[in-house]
Amino acid sequence: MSADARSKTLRLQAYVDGELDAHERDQVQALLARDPEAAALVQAIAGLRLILRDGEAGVPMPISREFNWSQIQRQIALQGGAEARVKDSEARGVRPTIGEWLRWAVPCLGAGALAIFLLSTQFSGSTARSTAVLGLNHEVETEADDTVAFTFRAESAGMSIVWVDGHHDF
Amino acid sequence: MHQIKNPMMKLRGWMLCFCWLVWGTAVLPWDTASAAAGDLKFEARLIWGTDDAKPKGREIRDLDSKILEKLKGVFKWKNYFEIDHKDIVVGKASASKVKMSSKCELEVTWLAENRVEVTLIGEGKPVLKKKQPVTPGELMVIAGDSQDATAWFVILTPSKND
Repeated sequence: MSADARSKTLRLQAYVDGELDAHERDQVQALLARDPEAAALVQAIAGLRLILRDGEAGVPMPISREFNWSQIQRQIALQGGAEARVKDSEARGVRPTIGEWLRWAVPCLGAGALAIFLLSTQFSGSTARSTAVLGLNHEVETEADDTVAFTFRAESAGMSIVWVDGHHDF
Repeated sequence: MHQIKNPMMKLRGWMLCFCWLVWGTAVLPWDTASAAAGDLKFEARLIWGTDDAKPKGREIRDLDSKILEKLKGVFKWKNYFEIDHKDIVVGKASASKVKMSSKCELEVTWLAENRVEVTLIGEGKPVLKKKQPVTPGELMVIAGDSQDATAWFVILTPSKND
């Protein structure tokens, strides 16, 4: 096949594939009108394209016996694990075990105890007619209804302080 | 520099030191115990905290420098002035009450050992009671806001026993 012939074939193939612009398409259509050989080639290419697009048979990949069995075993294993988990939670009656309770309860109790200790030793607010027992044997009792007292200790200054918030003026 | 060369003089010096040591270890604790068995003594101060300068025409005094430094280290006001200063002697038999101003009174009751109850009285009515141990050198402070962004402080300081 000469270079011109190869170029002509490629051009016709591009025409069938719809890859030409409007000008080139007009040129090819003019060629097809005057060249029966070219028209026959275009029909042959178009027919082949149609066959490839609509009639291409699917070729399944061969599956080996070992691969097939490995997939079956995997499914059985997954199903077995899920059933075991369901049975386990059913056996426990959906309630957490003591260990799981302790895992949460111990830190919570510890944090609560620490908070109470810090509040009782460092800072305490007492509302009207209430008694606050502070660290180091300090107790504060407010007597007036509109009085709120806060107690704290300034270690560096060596002071135990009761701050009375009741608009008293002495 | 004068040096003691006589061995007898040196011995006398050592004997004197020894006697002081014996007196310090044996007699002082008894002396302290006997004082603790007596009355409790406090100094009570009514103090005014303000950011303003000392007002003219009011009978207020500058505060003791040690207490002033302590207050400045804890509270926000720039100046602290002493309105009144009273000594309180508290016996085991009865409570002691002192008048710190026309509106403020302080009552101190000896509860047991080194524990006292301090009652702050405002315009004749009890405002607050505080029970706490008496710790030498520690200030017992009761305080609150006053008019014009100022503050009042009642400070009770344990005095040394005689």
